[in-house]
Amino acid sequence: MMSRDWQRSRSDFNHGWLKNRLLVGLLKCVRVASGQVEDQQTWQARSVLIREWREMRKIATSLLEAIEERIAAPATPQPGDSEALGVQPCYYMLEVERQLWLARNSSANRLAEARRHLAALDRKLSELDALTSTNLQAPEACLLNECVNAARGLGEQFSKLTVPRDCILC
Amino acid sequence: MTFTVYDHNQSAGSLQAWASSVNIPIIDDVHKGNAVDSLLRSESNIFFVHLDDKAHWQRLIANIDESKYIFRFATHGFPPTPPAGKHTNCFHVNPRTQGEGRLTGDQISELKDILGNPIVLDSLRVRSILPEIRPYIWFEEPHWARALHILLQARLAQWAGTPGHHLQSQAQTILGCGGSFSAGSQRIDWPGLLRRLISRGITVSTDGKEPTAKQLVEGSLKCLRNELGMKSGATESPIMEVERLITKILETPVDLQDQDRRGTFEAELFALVEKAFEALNVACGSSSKKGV
Repeated sequence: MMSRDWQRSRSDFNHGWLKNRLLVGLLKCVRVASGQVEDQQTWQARSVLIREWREMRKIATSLLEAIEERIAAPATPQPGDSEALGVQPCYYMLEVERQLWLARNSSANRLAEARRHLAALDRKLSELDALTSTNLQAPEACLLNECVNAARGLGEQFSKLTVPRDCILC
Repeated sequence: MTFTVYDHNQSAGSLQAWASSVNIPIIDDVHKGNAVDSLLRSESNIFFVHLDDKAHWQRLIANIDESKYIFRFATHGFPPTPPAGKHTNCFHVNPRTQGEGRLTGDQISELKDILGNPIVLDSLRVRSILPEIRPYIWFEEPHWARALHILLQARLAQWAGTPGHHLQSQAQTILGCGGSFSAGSQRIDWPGLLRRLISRGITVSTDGKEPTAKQLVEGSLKCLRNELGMKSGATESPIMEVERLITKILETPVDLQDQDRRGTFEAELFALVEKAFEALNVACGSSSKKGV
């Protein structure tokens, strides 16, 4: 996955879905479960969000795998870069970029932390799903709050993630 | 989406006048530093600011939460300017707020309505400008400036990765990578590489001939100004630093066989690379900085 595509995909996942959709939906569930708001449609919406999570989890996982690849191996220069600046200089410039990214960002630690939060959210949403899939009753606010915290935690971790540049002239 | 406005001209400013007329919350602290603190504490998602003080602007965009957006207005408008800030979530509204062709209150309201659409905001976040917002915000990607930045970074890395080199430790400090960094050291013709990059950026006519050093410098600076949204003829950083660097390299007058003169040249070159690199750090919104 090219760095530019990774940035877009992360933004779609982290801002477009996790923060703007899942978190907003879960907070609404908390308000309904605690009796602040009455809205029976909320539980239906929660089921939809859990279904969406199965797809979104794959996207989140692929974003983390892309980081793992960048940690493990140097980037290959783009043909346009190699033609313009030479293959060897491009390899060197991209490798410097990657090494600095590794040194400055504690990338391996951040990756591990993001994976931990991803697993935690997955566990909490599975619990929520198991508890409520057979009936559309209100789950306890406690579990919903745990889901909210897990979603917030994952969002924070994803906000910290970066990938090094993999293109010089584009 | 919730909006908050800050206009350093207070009630005399057109942005604050608009906000008053449409009941948008206003931060009306007379002290600009306090106003920045209020903006950073605000729960709103989107901020319209008219802030002329560079230091306050830099503090605001360095500390604003990633989930929020800042749109900066100016009396004279902005040339195309890349997104700014630690999270590149700060944008410049190009049309002016005063004088001929200024934004009307209705247009600011329209901009507000457009920004109420999360799709527009999400697109801006990944540097894509949807047609509906293009009358208000447009910018170019600083491809050439970034390429120059990555080249200078690699040159510094070569100094940083050469054991025993008298500039090694300084280079490591500039790169913010400490002593653990080593990307290896390769024999690369840096002046030749820089010349190739400069030639790509050149936009001045050379009538089919090999461009002169002067044309290369002029072409590069023109390209850089365009990408960074600077006015024609602008000489502030990083234009000045890049000009000094490429002029030095293109007009290398020293006999590099002479050890003493080579040492002097390298020290001068190092200083120029450092300044240009750090200026481009800021201009390109790079995360690389000292001590990271």
